[in-house]
Amino acid sequence: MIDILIPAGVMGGLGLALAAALLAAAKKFYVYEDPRIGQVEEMLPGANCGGCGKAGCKAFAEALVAGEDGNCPVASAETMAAIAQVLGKELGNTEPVVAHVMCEGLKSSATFNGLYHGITDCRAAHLIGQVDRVCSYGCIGLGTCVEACAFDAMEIYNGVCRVIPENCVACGKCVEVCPRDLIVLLPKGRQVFVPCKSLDVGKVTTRACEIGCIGCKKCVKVCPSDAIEFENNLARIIPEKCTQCFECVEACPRDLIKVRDLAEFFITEDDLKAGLDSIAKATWQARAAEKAKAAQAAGGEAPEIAAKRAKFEKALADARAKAEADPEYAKKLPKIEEGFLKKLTELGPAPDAEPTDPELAARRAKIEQALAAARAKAEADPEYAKKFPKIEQGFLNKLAALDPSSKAAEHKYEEEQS
Amino acid sequence: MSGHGLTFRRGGTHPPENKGLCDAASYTVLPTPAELLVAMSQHLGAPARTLVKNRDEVEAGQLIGESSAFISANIHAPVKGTIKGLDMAHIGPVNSPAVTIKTDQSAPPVPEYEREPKPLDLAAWEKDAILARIKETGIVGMGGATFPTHVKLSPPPGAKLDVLVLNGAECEPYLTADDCLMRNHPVQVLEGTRAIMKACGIDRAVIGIEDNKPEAYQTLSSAAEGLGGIEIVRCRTRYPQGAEKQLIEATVGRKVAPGNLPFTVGVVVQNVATTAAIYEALTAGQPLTRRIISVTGRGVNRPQNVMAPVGTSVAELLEYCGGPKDDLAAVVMGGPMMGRATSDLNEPTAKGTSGVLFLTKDELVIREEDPCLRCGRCVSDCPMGLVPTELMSLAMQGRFEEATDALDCVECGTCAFVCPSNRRLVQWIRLAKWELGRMRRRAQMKQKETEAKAAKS
Amino acid sequence: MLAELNLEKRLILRSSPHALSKEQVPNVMWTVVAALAPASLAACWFFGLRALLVIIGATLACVVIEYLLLRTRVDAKKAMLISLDGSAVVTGILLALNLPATSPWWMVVIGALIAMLLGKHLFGGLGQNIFNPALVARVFLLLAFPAEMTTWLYPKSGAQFAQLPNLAAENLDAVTGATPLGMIKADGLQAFLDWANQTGTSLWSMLWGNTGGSLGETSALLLLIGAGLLFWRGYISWHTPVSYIATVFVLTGIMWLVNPQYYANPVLHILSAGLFLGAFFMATDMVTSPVSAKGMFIFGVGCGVITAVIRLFGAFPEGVSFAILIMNGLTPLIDRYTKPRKFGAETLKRGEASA
Repeated sequence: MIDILIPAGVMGGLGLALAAALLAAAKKFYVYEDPRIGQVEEMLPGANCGGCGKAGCKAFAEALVAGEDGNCPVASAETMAAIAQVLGKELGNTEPVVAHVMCEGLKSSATFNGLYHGITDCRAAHLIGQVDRVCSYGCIGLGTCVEACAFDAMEIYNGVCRVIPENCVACGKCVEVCPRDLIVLLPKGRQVFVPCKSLDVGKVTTRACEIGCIGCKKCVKVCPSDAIEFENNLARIIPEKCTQCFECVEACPRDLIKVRDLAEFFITEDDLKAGLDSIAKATWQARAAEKAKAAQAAGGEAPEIAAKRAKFEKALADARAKAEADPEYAKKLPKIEEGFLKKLTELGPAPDAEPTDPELAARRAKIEQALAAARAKAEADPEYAKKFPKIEQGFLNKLAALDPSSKAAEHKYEEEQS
Repeated sequence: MSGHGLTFRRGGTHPPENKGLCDAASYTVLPTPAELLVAMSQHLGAPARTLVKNRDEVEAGQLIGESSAFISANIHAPVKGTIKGLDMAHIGPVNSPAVTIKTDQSAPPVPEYEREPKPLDLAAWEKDAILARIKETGIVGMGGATFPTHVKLSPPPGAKLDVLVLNGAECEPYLTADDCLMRNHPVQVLEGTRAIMKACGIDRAVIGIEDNKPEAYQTLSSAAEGLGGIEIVRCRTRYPQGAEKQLIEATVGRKVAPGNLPFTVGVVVQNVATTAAIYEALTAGQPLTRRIISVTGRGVNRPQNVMAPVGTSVAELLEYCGGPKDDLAAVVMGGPMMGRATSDLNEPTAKGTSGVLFLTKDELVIREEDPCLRCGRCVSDCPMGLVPTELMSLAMQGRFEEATDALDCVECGTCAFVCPSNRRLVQWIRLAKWELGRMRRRAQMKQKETEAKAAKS
Repeated sequence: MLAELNLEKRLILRSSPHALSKEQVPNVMWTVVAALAPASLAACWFFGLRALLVIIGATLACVVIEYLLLRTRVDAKKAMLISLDGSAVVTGILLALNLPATSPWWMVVIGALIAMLLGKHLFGGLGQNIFNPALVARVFLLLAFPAEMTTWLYPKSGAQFAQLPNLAAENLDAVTGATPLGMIKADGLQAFLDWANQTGTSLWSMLWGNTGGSLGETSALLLLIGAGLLFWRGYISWHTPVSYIATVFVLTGIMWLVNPQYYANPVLHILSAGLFLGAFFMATDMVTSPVSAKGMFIFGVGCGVITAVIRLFGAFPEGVSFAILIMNGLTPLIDRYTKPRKFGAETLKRGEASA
């Protein structure tokens, strides 16, 4: 009997003692953690990609609960909204962005000298200097960004690294890794940019690449909104000022400035075989035509009425402009505006359905004003008139984008493409 | 490997010297090229600020680029000419603003070194005046590092310098430019040494020469007779004898701690070509606009030492030296152990270009990398006491934060040279250094951002 | 004129250094093969034609198996190049030297398979393995086929060299027997000494190689000569072998002093049972041992301690294989803590961090 009791007693006593010790430790060394941290962490995607700038999702959750502002580029807007609710505050609304490699000097169109022997890493190759590409600013093409991307959103095509927009969550890893700082994050709706970073003078660039910026400044000259800055032989489009009128796209003698809807553009293998830029243009033109057709189909109107409408809109725009310049006139403006709007309404309902949202109306008004101004300029200047159709198309696209009925047309186009 | 002479103790190797190709007894003078591409960044530190515009006329020796920061240097036009363009010069990974000068072919070429040099009257020179003249004339370290000399010779207050070590080792294979200079212009070298001694208040100088240069040793020794405080010593021919810290250990037996500079052990080191340039600056006010370059290798028809103005293109040198041989496979700026390969024959030479190698395929020894055998040769031969195989391994895995030892690497190339698996060790270590630098910069920027945000709120 | 040549297209861009020493992996490996040659030839002399067949068989098996394993990863040409770089040959010879001359052919092949597959290629190939492949194979065979692995041949004079390779079972008893250490472990020291007197085996004969054992265990002298070649070429350094052998000597010496009746003297220990083979050729294997001198020294001491303990107090008569394998496993740890001192680190004052 004793033979059993003693071991049982010892083990039992040991167990109790250890349990007591654990209990004491748990009590003494207890660290309070805000339960919201766990909650938020659960809701985050858990990719630990570092796109938020923190060292993983847990760290980001802690930062958010501690009061910091931030955005997870991988999480959807609904997730971020839900997290905002849990935290009882607004989270910073950042515009969705997508990465883009600012070099399109394909192996087939740029000059390559020399044979590189060494580590297959762009950073290591860059340290040698001008790798086999003659342009010292261009993409080295060894794929370090491709390796760094955790979302399969990068690939090497024809000696140049490209982003696959659908997979990109803008975590920023590729931006960090590129030794020539070629990758930038652009807002998703961004249509126009200059994919080149060469600071060489035109003569040198021409030798180095078929497509690089030669610093002719034609784009700067034609931009109506002063949205292109030029420094050190390189043009750059300022995103905030660009009205996406696509003048520069037409003006660029090297077909460098690109039109691309980053969120929806998907390049197929066949497209690539035909050459990047021509496809971009062709697709853009096709879509623009589609949109215009849809807008017309949704409710076109007789040409005379359209002409009258245009005349009234122009007059309205002129009046508004005059009012801004002249405070005296500004006092009379409300009455004058009322008069024109009445006349416009008399013409009948506009082809596009009037949005009830005042903000939308304001935006529509602004675009219509710009369109009217452009029309006026075209009438005055025959040179400008040549370019006008394209510009008009641009504005019409924008108007169409504001209109839900033409969104239906857009979706139809996408479905056809996929 | 000769057995004579002082040397560093740890590591090192002995690559084939190949010095016979390029005769060190004499050099030729390049006729002024039609065009010179003079870069504003020929030195460590901030690039010089361009002072000239397109179509400006410049005189020989005119200041065309001004030192723009504490660590920066002046740039001068080598010869008379007209500014033809303000292009960028691509010198390795550095994209430097530069000026293209269309030279006036009727004007005199760059002045050569004095054939009958007179000793300096150092009594007439104050220490500050010497440093000012060195700064004015844009002199930088001509051994390859191109650190602005006036900064190097003004160590921080509290640093007590007592020895000047001159680097006449020229441990890189193929190169004989310094050898040539020491043999032909010993007075310039010695007088420049005296000038530095005056400028830094040092009364002892040691000139280290590898013992594969017996003529240079003889010439300098006889010229130095009677000059107080200057000692010429023989160093064993071993690579990297000319590396700063190794040379200091060999000549004066002092070891510089990791991460520290030589002034912490009371030493300042200068290359012999820099001292000759200092002499010229003090006597004739000659800015640093030309130097002797070893154009060598088995891929060029007539290898020789050439005195050329800065901004001479590689193509110009190649043509002057008889053009390429059929099996030319690579062009290297500098020596084979630490030099940088280039594929742009229009790349200009600069103040720090001691040699241009034209190597054939056989000399180049292209081999595929094999897996690391962990044989430990790189560890036992690394003169800095690092573990190159581990640094390479960490770099390959992207674990750069753990590879901080890479910052102590001088990139001498010994490890990759001895590696039986032909691993590109130096390239991996360079990658680690680059990434560490970027990480540090990013962290600094982030800190600035958070500070700015905190300040705003 | 220069432009016409269009040189730039073919210039090679590479990081420095642009010079490489002549030595490459095949140089290293084939030198090791050359270093093992004297002992291998001696084994053939002592044990007859059969020994030669075992050596050739093991080597061939290793090379072929390596080729086949490589073909799963690379193309034929590359596989051929790699399998002939000498590393498989080295493993084959070392494996053979670890086997008794009576090894059946299937055991040799299995050994080669284990060595190449488990010991090397599953880890990733050359340079990636943690454990010495020949020893992995040896230990595997020892545990899987203990009888075959301990059927030792006695060495004969040169007249035996022409003997038929296949030994019929009935002949085995006449020519096989235990190794010296095996005898000591099984029957005690006295029994061994009696036998030694009887057969005229002396320490000298162990040095020269005239004792029973596996192919490589016998001639310490010839192994030493081979190791000398490796020292001269700088492929091995003295740290590991010297510290290994010294440690075994010291530890066995201590026990011998304590009880000379029970424990064999230290000279016997270091001359027997493959210590020389292990210390000079297997503990010094570059891939599986530390990279720094300090590390190699510690590695040798560790091997020595484990070997001595197994021999003195363990169930096995000899412990070289186990000792080396265990220390192989500890190599990364040793490497982490035995980094060489950086240049000039001693001039840093105590507590002062580098700038």
